[in-house]
Formats: sequence, C-alpha cells, structure tokens
Amino acid sequence: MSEDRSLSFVNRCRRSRSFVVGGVMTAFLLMCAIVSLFWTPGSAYDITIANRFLPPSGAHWLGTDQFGRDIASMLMTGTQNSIVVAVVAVSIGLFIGVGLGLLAAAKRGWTEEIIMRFSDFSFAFPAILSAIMLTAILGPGGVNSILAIGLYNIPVFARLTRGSANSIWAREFVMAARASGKGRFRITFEHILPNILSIIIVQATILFAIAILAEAALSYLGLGTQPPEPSWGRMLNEAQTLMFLDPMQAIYPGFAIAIAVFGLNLLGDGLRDVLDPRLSRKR
Amino acid sequence: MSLLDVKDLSVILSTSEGPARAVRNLNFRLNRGETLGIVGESGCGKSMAALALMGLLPEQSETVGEITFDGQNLLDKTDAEMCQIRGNRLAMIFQEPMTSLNPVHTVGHQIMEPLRLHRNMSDNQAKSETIRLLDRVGIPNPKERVDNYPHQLSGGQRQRVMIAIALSCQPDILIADEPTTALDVTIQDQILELIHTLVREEGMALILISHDLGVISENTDNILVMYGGSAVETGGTEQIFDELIHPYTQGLFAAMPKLGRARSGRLVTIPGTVPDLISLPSGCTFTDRCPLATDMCRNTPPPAIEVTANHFASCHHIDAARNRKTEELFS
Repeated sequence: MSEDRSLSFVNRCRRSRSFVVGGVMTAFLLMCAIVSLFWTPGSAYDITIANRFLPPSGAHWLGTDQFGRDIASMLMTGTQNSIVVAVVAVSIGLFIGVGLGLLAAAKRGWTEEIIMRFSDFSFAFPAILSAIMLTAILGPGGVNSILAIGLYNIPVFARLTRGSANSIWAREFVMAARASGKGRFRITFEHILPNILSIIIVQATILFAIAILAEAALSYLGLGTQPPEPSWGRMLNEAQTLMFLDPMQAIYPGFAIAIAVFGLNLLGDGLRDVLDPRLSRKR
Repeated sequence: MSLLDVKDLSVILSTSEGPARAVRNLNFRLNRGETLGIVGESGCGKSMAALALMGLLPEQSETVGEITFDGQNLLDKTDAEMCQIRGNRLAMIFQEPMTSLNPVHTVGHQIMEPLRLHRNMSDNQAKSETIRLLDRVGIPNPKERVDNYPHQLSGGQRQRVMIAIALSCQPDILIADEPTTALDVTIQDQILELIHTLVREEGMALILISHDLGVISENTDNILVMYGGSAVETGGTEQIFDELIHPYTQGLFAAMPKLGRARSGRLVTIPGTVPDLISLPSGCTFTDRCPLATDMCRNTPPPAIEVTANHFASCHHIDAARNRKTEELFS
C-alpha cells in the first residue's frame, strides 16, 4: 500500500522535467556549499597581491581577483553564505507567517482583521527599501540582513496561508470534524495544515530564490555580508570598477546567482506539479 | 422529562439585504429511542434547525429560544463545552459523503479521532474499536479498509464511514441531514436500513431530515413539517399520513408522484416559489401560496391547533382545509 504510493511519487518526480532540472541545479549548489566547508581549490581569504588577475589555470580554476584571491573558492564559500541567509530568512517567514495565517483563519473576526491589515501595511513598502532601512538602523551585517529578509517574508506567508486556510475551512469535512467535537486548534493542525502544506512548500522554494537574490542585493549595496566573508553580491560590487579590465569577475558571481535563482524556481514549479494531486491525476 | 426539548427556537441570519429568519419559533420534543422526521422543501430551514442544535451555525447568525438537552440549555454553553457534547452525545451525518471526509487522512484515522478525543482511548484500543465499527456499518474487509484513503471508497461506503464516525461514541441523539440525497437509489435503501437498525439497537434518538416523504414515512415515529422556517404541522407519522391537514402538507403530498396513478394527469404543483426569508409575511409563512389565505393569515401568526391527540396544525382555516380534497385545493 504505502510502497505503491511512494513509487508513484518517485515516478511523478521523474516525469516532471522542471523538478529534475531544478533539483539537479539546487543539488549542485548544495554540494558546492558542503564541499567548501572542508575543501576549496584555493584560498578565498588570503590576499596575495603578486597573484592578482591571474587567468584560469590548474591552480586557479577561474583565475584570481584584484587581491589575488581564488575566484572559484570565493564562489563556493559564497554559496554557504547565500544558503544560510536564505534558509534562516525563509524559516523566520515560514514559522511566524504560517502561524499568523492559520490563527487568522481559525479565529476570524478582529484577530483576522488586525493580522491581515498589518500584512497589507507592510506590503505597501517596497521590500528592498524596507530591508535597506532596517539594515541602516540596525547596522550592516549578515545577521541583520537575514532579519530584514525574514521580516519581509512574514506577510507573504501569512497572506498565502490565511487565503488557502479559509478555503479549507469552508469545506464540508471541516464541518464534519466540528460536528465530531473537535476544537478550532485541533482542526487547524489536523485538517487545515495538511491540506495546504503543498502550497506552502512550493511558496517556500520560490521565496528561497527571492531571498538569495535579496541577500545578493543587500551585499552588493554593502549592507549584507561584510568582508572578508565572501559573498556573491559583494563580488559583483567589487567587480563593478573592473568591468573593462576583467569582465569575467562580474560574470562569474552573476552566473552563480542566476543558477541559484533559476534552479530554485524550476524546483518550485516542479514541486507544484508533483505535490498537486489534481494535476497529476490528469496524466 | 424529554431528552431534547426545543422551545421557541429562532435562527436569524444577517445577510447583506438584512436579517433573514431562517427558523422561527420552532417547538418540538424528542425522547430517548424516538425518531423524528423533519420534512420540507429546500430552503425551509430544516438544515439550519439541525445546525442550531449542534451549535454549528455560521458566525453571522443569532440563535434565540431554548434547546434543552438532558436538562441543560445548549445555547448557554461556551464553544469549549459544546466541543465536549458534539460528536460525543450529539452526532451528525451530512448530506454529501464525497466531501465530508478529509482527503489527506485514512478513514481509520478519521474514525479513531473522536474515540481518542472523547473516550481517551489508546491507539490500539481505538484501532480495534474502529475495525469493529467498520464491520458494524457493513464495510467488507474492515481490517484492510481501515488503512484506505477516502478516494479509494465508493460514495455508499463513504457514507457508511460517516455513520461509523457518528456512532463511534454512542451518542444520545443522531442527526441525519439528508443522508441519502447524494446516493444512488439502490444504495439509499441500504443506508437508511442501516441507520434504522443501528439507531434501534443502540437505543439512540434520531432526527432524520429529508425532503423525501417516502424516506420519512418508513423511518420515523413522528413528523414535523416545516415551511418558511416554521413548523406548519406536527404529529405521529401514521396520524399525519392518515389525515393531512395543513394546506402545505396536502400540497407537498399531492406533488409526490404515485405508482399506479401514472398517465392519469399532470403532477400537482404548489403555485409560487419558496418565500424570501428576508421579507416573510408577519403571519403565516405560507400565505402567498395558499389557496385558502385571507388577510388574517398574512398578519396574524396561526396558533398550533391540536386536531387529534398530539397532532397539531398551524392554520387559521383548519376546518376549511380538512373539508376540502387536495385536488380542490391545488388544481
């Protein structure tokens, strides 16, 4: 019985091309991050001016930057940073946002009004501007950029959760559950959450990509990860002045960001195909 | 003292066009082991009355009157207290078995939930009780079916599962809101038979809501006929089938196709449509469609008159209604 189910799940995963391609790209990034914890081809931190602007070679796969640091190593180490920021920021948004959304849908009335108007309010500010404002107040740095991105994610999740939870609350089986004496809290975790989980997972994957992009943007502006920690956004920033001298320095981190965002978006799209039984039944 | 005593129950729904009185001044009693049929056409307030009993009305509504269940007024209870009663002492079966089960949990899980919730059973106890219940409601291979998801069962089987959930805690009263409307005719009979047998064996009281007079006549001791939110006629099932009094009841029965009367003419219809609950006449709700209506009917609510022992009809023109044949009333 359960074997059947898992088998069809794997099959559905295989059949979704965007899930496979996105999964491979994301797995590649994840691998880079893990490998860089133990080993990098060169050093992402050591400044050796004598080695500056070296072309790609066996020792330096992608060459070196203007301080003689190994670009391939910096990119790999930067992956760690991007993933950590995105994971923590999305988790903040996920737990608080989903919690608020479920609460709003379960309580209705004033609780719902306050939570939803508050998220409308925070939506009124452009995300990157509020992140810049927050880091300007709290001071630049990795932790603060995580916080800024995480705060932005809260209303996104709250809205999505409340909307989908409300549509489940209106379903007949919830009425049947209430008729069997279950309270709102119990219904929320037993009936509402399992039915909207797939939507939340897909949204989390896509917000993960947005968080990586946002982290790069904040670092590019000098508000995110601080030197000497390598970060894709700051590599872009440093390469900016060298555009005509060594354009590859800007292209490498740009490419890394593009792969991460594209891969995660594909993965999110693929997950939607895989997790939505209504779509899969048609095949 | 009756198990359930409903006095002057009214449900007022607030809509964008104003307050709608979905149920008005409903009175009835139900004793242990008794079965009551509530009959009426769509939109007459049958389901609203049932939901009011369970305390499950939409939030934009107001319930007034008294619902005394086992000596306690249910309308005074908090939501937490009602959760102790719902599913435990009052259980309900819904119309639509296809959507009344949660698609993400196994049917076994859904039957076990009330057992764990109200009976504090352990997982093992609940599981064996669930298998017993599935067997009881006539599902073959209950040991395997326990792990099935709702989409793996047919409509009739799902309604059986719903019955198993409702019965799990041996409630005092079972409310069945059109339990067979969404099912095949062949399955309908089996399900009703099942409900009937289980109710009798467990000694529960049953409130059966239906628009199908055949269903009501076969399965109930007493009948309450509703129109426009109020009870127009109440009495024993046999009494009512012996003599229909209220013009609405007469119309309702005449509108039913009968075997052996085929080809003899068109079916009788009651002229007009169900009244708009927002602008009901202050008197009898049937005024606009009644062939006997006078000005008095429109303005004064008719009293419930006891025609024979325990057989009440709410009509100002009872004698006129009794003395005319249905065919004369609606032709």
